[in-house]
Amino acid sequence: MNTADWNAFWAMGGYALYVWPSVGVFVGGLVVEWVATGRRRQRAIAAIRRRLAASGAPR
Amino acid sequence: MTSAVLPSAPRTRGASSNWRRFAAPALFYPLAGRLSRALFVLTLLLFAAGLWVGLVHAPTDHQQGDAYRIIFVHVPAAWMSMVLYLAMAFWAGVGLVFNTRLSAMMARALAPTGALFTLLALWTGAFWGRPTWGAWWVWDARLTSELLLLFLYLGFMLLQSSIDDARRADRAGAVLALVGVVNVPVIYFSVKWWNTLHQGATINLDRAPSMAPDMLAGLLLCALGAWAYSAAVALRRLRAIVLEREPNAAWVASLPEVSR
Repeated sequence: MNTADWNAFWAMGGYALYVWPSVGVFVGGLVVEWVATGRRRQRAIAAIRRRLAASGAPR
Repeated sequence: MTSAVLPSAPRTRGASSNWRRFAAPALFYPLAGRLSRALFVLTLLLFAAGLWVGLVHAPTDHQQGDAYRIIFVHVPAAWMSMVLYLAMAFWAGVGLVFNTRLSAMMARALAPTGALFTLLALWTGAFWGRPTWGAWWVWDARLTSELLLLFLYLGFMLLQSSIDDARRADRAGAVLALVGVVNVPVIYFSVKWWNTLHQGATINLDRAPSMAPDMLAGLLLCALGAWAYSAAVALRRLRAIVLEREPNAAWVASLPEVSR
């Protein structure tokens, strides 16, 4: 793949300013959601472990 | 109050009883994890293929030039916005009728993803409308009803988070979700029922699509990718919701990620 092809790809026939914010926000939105959902589960796990440690701590 | 470590499966009478035991969060949780990871791998493959076909391989449109390539994200987002609303309303309805809390949790898991895809459909649609119609937004039937869909998703999520008792919140949200279902056929048929700037359906159930084969292939790959992603992320969120709602269960305490 040469530079001319690469440039043509990014240029999107002159519509780059419309195509790339669309594709970019789409992909970016999904990535952020995926990561955020994983973090939500980790927070839930951490809360449970804290509660178990607090209630189950040997006296 | 703790529940049994793992509910024992009832002696089965047949295949249908086997499936119903997965209504127990304890049994569904690990299954959801495996499904979510497998679906995520599928998502990556489908989007890699779909975006390559759509952005690199498919020919340029003779009317819209390369601006048409927004179709490969816009249409999958719009389709998922509608499909996820129907799924959300379905599970909310099941939860309402059968009083199964995992069903209600699934509806909650679907809502944010549905809202995101609705937002993405509106965003990508605006970026497609600007160069082709000359407008970022018009109040035509399809765009307006899709915006209403976004409000329905947000209303569902806000209503549930405003009610303290989780089961009451589940039921209230279910009523809202079910009432809002009527909006989905409105969105779908809007281009047929009204004079809209938004173009009519290219893909129909009863006749061949009027689209170049390579374009159609890219669109279908991206649509399947969006579907696989939605299932993967909803199951992932469901696992978080289950842990948030059942924190004192014994089966939760014995999970590897908790007890390590």
